[in-house]
Amino acid sequence: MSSPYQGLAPSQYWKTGVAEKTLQTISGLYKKKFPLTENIATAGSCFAQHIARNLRINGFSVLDVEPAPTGLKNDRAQKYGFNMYSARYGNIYVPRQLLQLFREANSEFKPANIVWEKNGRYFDAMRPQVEPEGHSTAEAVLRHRQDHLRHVKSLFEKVETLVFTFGLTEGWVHEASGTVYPTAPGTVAGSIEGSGISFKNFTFNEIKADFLALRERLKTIRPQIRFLLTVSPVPLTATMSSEHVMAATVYSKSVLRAVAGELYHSYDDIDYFPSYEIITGALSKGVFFEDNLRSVTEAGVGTAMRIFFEEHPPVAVSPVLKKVRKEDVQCEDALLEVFA
Amino acid sequence: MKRICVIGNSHIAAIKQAWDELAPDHPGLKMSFFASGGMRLKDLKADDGKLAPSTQYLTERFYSDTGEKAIDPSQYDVFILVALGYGLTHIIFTALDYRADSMNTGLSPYKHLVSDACFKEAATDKLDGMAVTSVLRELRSLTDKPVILLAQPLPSARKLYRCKTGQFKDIVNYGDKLMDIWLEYGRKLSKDYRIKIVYQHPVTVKERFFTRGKFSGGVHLSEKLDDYSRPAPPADMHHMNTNFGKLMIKSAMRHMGY
Repeated sequence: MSSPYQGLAPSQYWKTGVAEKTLQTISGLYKKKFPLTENIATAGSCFAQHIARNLRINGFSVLDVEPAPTGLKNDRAQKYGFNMYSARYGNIYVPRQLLQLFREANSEFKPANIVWEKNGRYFDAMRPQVEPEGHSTAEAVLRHRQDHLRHVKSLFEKVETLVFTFGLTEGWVHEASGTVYPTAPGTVAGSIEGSGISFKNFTFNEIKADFLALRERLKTIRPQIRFLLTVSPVPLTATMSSEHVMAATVYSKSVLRAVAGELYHSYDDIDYFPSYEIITGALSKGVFFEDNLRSVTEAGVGTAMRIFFEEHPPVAVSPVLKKVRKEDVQCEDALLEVFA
Repeated sequence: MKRICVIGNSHIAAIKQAWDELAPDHPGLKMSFFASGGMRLKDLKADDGKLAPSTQYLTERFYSDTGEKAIDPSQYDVFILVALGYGLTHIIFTALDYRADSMNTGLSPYKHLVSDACFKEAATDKLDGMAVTSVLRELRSLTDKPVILLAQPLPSARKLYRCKTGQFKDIVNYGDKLMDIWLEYGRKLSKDYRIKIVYQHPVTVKERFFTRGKFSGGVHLSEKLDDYSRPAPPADMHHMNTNFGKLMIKSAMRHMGY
């Protein structure tokens, strides 16, 4: 009598696939569905910044429609939202935010309550950290946003592969308009009182539907576009759900991982890279987190990217191999820690 | 005999050719010239009491009229640095693509709108990355002797007429903002490295931010000075001519007490 589990590949058994392996010897964890093309765009939560930077360092053609001014030092460039993704949109934690950005750039949607104030300075609620000192007037915020959207529109018209990292399920939504924000008002600027903005924990079905809506819209202008999804391994800094933050994190990541898995299994043009598993899985034994048990170590990023590049060999190594430092990663989410 | 060491990039050519003509009238001065194009002199490092090329690339492209391979500060009384990236031109080039709020007149195209704070940091960082800061740092590690920096010439006013997009003409409207950043950086250099900065003579300036056409047109650059295969004179609108160089030398000499 035979079992269907007999004769599987070693990677399909926990003992031979994980327990007897190290992250240096593990194999078959990621098999690409398709090679990366030219004109890669990156977006997502803060962990996606590592992917974007490593793709660039390894010679991949990552679009940057809002490059930093020549000479601006990298730490300052990042302070202004340059060199993080393919445009200065900052962190995008949920697919609905990216869908909304697409629609806004194509004049299909006008977000509400977009200018947030703090101490007489004005901030773009959709990317509150790209101007750390804010603007002097609300009108300036709108002018800068229009300029940004012009570039974002051009990005969507060029992209061939979209690398998107799912970050959170928890978000902030303007009830009347449905506008989604990357942070709660009052975190960087603005105020929650009277804003009409409230907490929302996006469900599996909502996240999946939002991503598929984005995919459909993108395919109308880029029919050959492909998607590479990842799930950020970075835990929540704080949760607005009533659960313990650890339980809320596992719930949030599980939903995102399930959506990514569903999309991966359902569509030939959607690939999934298991950076989440590499950083958080049993094999890593937690060593890829800093002492705060939240930030991912350089070794963790390095290991994830090494496994990624085994499937996507570097095109040409940049002559200036920039060392990726954890402080190079900008995370609005981390700002919540000041309230802890 | 006062011994002057002149260190610069491609802009040194106008100074050198001017000095070749002026030298007979100044028997009490001896100038020695050391140069390499663009920002290559960032690789000039203090080594065993001298400033010497630290890379093979610079060694092969290091010009000196004396044939020396390194600069020995003990052999000179005064140092004149020429341009080495300390130029409004570099900020102008940032402004052509990146327009800060206060510079946005709506009269000329740009690629990116940025905040004034971002623009200022970008311009300052850009100047900070030029050869002038590294040469000063290395030089000051070896000597406390007087240093005069001759600012890079403003771009030729011919740009005003040749640029079809109107971007250069528009600089007249917001150039004060760029000038403020440039001069503020210069004051910092002066303070940090105890140097005098000599800006170009007012008679050479047109529309505040440009060099009169008759002073531009450039000089022929030797291979070691030409980092960018620039257009030959007179189409070169960034390098100035011998008459310009003479005025700069005379200004520098006044600072030296001549």
